[in-house]
Amino acid sequence: MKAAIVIAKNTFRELIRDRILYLILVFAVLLVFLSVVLGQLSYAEQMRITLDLGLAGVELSVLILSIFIGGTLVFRELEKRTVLTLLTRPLTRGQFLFGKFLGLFSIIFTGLICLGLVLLLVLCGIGWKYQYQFPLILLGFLYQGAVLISITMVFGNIVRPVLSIALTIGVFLIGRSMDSLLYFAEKSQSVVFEKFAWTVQYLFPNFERFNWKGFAGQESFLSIGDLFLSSFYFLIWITILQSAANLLFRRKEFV
Amino acid sequence: MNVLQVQSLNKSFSTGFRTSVQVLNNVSFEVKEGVVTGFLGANGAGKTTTLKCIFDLIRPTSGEVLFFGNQAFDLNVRKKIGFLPERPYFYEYLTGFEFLKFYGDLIDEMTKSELVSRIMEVLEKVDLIEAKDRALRDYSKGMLQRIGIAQTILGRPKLIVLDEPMAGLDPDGRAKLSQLIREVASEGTSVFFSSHLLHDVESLCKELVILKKGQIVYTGSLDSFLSRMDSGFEVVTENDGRRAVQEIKTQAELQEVLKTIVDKRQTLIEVKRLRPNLEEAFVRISFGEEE
Ligand SMILES: Nc1ncnc2c1ncn2[C@@H]1O[C@H](COP(=O)(O)OP(=O)(O)OP(=O)(O)O)[C@@H](O)[C@H]1O
Ligand SMILES: [Mg+2]
Repeated sequence: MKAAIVIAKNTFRELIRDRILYLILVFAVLLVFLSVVLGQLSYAEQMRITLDLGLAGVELSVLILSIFIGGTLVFRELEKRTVLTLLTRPLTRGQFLFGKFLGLFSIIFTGLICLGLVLLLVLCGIGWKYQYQFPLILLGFLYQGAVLISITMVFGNIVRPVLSIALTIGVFLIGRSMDSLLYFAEKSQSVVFEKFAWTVQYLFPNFERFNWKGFAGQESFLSIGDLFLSSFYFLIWITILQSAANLLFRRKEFV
Repeated sequence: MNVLQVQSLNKSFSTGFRTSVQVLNNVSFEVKEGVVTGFLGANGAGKTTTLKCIFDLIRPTSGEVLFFGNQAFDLNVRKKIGFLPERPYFYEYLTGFEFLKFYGDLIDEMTKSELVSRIMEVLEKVDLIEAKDRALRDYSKGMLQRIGIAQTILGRPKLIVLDEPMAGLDPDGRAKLSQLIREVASEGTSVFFSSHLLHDVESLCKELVILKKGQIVYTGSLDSFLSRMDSGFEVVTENDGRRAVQEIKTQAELQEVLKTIVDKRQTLIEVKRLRPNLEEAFVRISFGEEE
């Protein structure tokens, strides 16, 4: 575990010193401001729309950070052949991979905190009253980010980054439409479609389960039980995906 | 004792559907403790592939690699070895110091202050103290190669393995690196390195492993390699104040010539055994007719 943390620390440092991160973060902050401005331009329910758009901006940024940095995370080490020396050091390939994941996860976490604070300050600036749902909604973004990083890490073992990123976006879109898919499957009379939807539900992570933006501005939130269930669902997917990435990476040859 | 033992390594790469190319063919050799061993072979002979198999970066089709007598390449062995790959490239965003600190943290055998003083010691040794706070992206090739060596010796290893450490360096850089390898070896670390620069190999190595098209063609000492490659004798005589030099191939021929000299009462100045330098010997074994 110690070794994984050493790798994580270095990965964190690598990304912090990378211009890409700041490019995405600057874009993200602009996006948040833009959403707020757009929200303010709306006629009715100004505050609610501003809040919704602001959160969507933060979410989109976290997704972009996770997918795009995740897509090149391990690839950089392969491309620059730094992996050759690193993997002869006293650490297992599993620790290396998990360290890379932890490093990027901390970046996403830090980025999320920063963007969350920016949004919070802006919202409070225009007279919004803080609600306890706010950080929980952000937690949902973090879950989505972590699952996305893990997916890019699985694909990253098989295909080049561009394809890995594209495939991950595909999986995300499936995961975000899963609830509608299941709904339509139930409504339809077709057995085949129902079976199909049922299968998809187990093959792909259901990102809707971490999408709690709808609770913004509401009086209520997910019940504690449901929150735990979703967190459990999150942990299961992380475990599955990280194990898969690990298995693939362990078999790899570095020619 | 052997610090490294490679046994019957075979490796084929698949090159397409059902076709493959055998790159290593029953490669076996040993690296002895406390000496510098050179690893020679023409381009594409399979040196890098062998080294990567040794460190589990490539999986051999069959064969075994043992360290320090009988140990597999596990976490404990990893603490006692260092590896510098071909054309290494390190994290450009780290400074020299940060890079060594990162690698030192992975070895995890020293306290923080011990590690820092060890890093300074190693930086001193590779002559990079002044550059320690500069980012690696600003290092020259020679400096990168030296920080690469620094990384291998940081944990006071028993064995370091270097893949073409001198490639791309100017004569001064090469001399510095040779000196560094000599120092490391004098402290008891076994060194195994591949190189095409036979002059450097000749001056550094005591032992040789030579690979040709994926097969071992020689393992043993440099001395016996060179004498095995004897190219005959040179006889110098003097007649009326004029010197004459004859080159002779075999022992029988030599005796004939000497007899003539004695019979004709010529003045014998010198009989010299001719030895090829490593360059000639290597070219002969590596590019000459099949044995
Ligand atoms: N992934 C691969 N697929 C097919 N052939 C390969 C692969 N990797 C290496 N080879 C072949 O294996 C042979 C040995 O390559 P290797 O890099 O080990 O040689 P080398 O002795 O290190 O050469 P050099 O001195 O040029 O570094 C070469 O003929 C190369 O073409
Ligand atoms: Mg090579």
